[in-house]
Amino acid sequence: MRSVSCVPSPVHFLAPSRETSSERAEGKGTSADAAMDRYARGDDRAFAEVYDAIAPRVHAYLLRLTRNRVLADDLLQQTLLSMHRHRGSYASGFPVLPWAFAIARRLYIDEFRRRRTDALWSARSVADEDRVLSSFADDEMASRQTAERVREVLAKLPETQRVAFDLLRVEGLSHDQAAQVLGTTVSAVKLRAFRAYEAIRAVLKGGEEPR
Amino acid sequence: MTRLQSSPNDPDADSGASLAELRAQILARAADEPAPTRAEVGARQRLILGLALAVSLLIFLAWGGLRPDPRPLRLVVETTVGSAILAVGVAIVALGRGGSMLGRPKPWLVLVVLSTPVALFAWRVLTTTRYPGMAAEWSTRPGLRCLLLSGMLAITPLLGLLWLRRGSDPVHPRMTAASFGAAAGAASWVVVDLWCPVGYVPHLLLGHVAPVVLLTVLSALLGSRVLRLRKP
Repeated sequence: MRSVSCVPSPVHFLAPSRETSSERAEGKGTSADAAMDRYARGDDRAFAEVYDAIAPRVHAYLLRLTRNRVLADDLLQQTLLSMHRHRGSYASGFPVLPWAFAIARRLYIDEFRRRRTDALWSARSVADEDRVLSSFADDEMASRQTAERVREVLAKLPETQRVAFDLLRVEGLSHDQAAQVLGTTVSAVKLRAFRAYEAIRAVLKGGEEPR
Repeated sequence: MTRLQSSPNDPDADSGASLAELRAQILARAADEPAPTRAEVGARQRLILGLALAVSLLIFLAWGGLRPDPRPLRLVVETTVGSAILAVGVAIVALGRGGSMLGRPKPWLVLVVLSTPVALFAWRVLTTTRYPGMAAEWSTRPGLRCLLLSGMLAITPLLGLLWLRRGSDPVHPRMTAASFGAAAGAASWVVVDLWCPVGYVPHLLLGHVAPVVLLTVLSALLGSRVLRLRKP
């Protein structure tokens, strides 16, 4: 089994382009929403448009979560098929992207829990990660180390803060979309993300991470 | 070859099936597996919920139907209209999805689940105490019949709701189901209000409040299994 890197650059963590986030959050969502609406009404050809609009982002998200291409492919397939099965419940105008992310996240969590008891899986994941990290070029080491420190900080954060940070800063969802994915309020997402930013800022400034 | 935009540092982008193959595979599986359209789902929802409500209505009529005496008609109207407004509000929050496929935020649902029995009870007590003698003790009516009637009225619509939404909630299935239970309990409260003249507080707690709480708990227990997103 092979794995893929999912370590974003430190710059990405700190200052993702506002335009990029906006485009990713709004532009794609609109075409996906319209296609999903047609698909819910029975236009079977629209599913390809739904796929093209959301699959790249959901797949990237799953790659980051799983660090495993085969598993990410499998979860993407399950996510899209789940949306397909529930197309009749899709209401016109509802945003598709948070729905897709929430399904993908749930499927990942279920898969993770299923595999957590498998010691072989854990050992293999560690070995895969070590192999990927050792293959990086030397000139990337500095930024990688910083990214690694950020990852360590993120890993120590409570799950709620880490996921909020991921959805906002890495996946580029809006606060509203992230709140939908997490099933909570916008203000709760903002608070969780703020706490995550504070922890990361402290580390990148060279200080100790807040306790 | 069409590629998904995965990681910029993807070291094994060429491994496994190509992304174009993955796309074709997913689209082919979706094409092979029929899924109901919105119109079909809507028709199914109307049928199931219509049947469930009809069953509840028949149970109510078989139980004796509307029984305002010995209450003043004005008291019956006040309690029923107030509790009906509350029940409609609960149903809108619990069953509506608030502009998202993922339903309402969990804090909203928690608020609805916790406040529904409290608000209904408070309204009933407030209206009843305004009429002398209407909150007097009824030693022969501890509330068991109201408890049973509430459960019987609510269970069919509740099961219908859970069945219609089965396997579809990826975020908080337990809390969504609990809010369904609160909504079903609130609706049955309104109907039981039309039948039960007792305003004695211990009776209200056992016969009217307890079923709402029990339905909410039962629905939460069922819902964590029934509503939970399933692997396709």
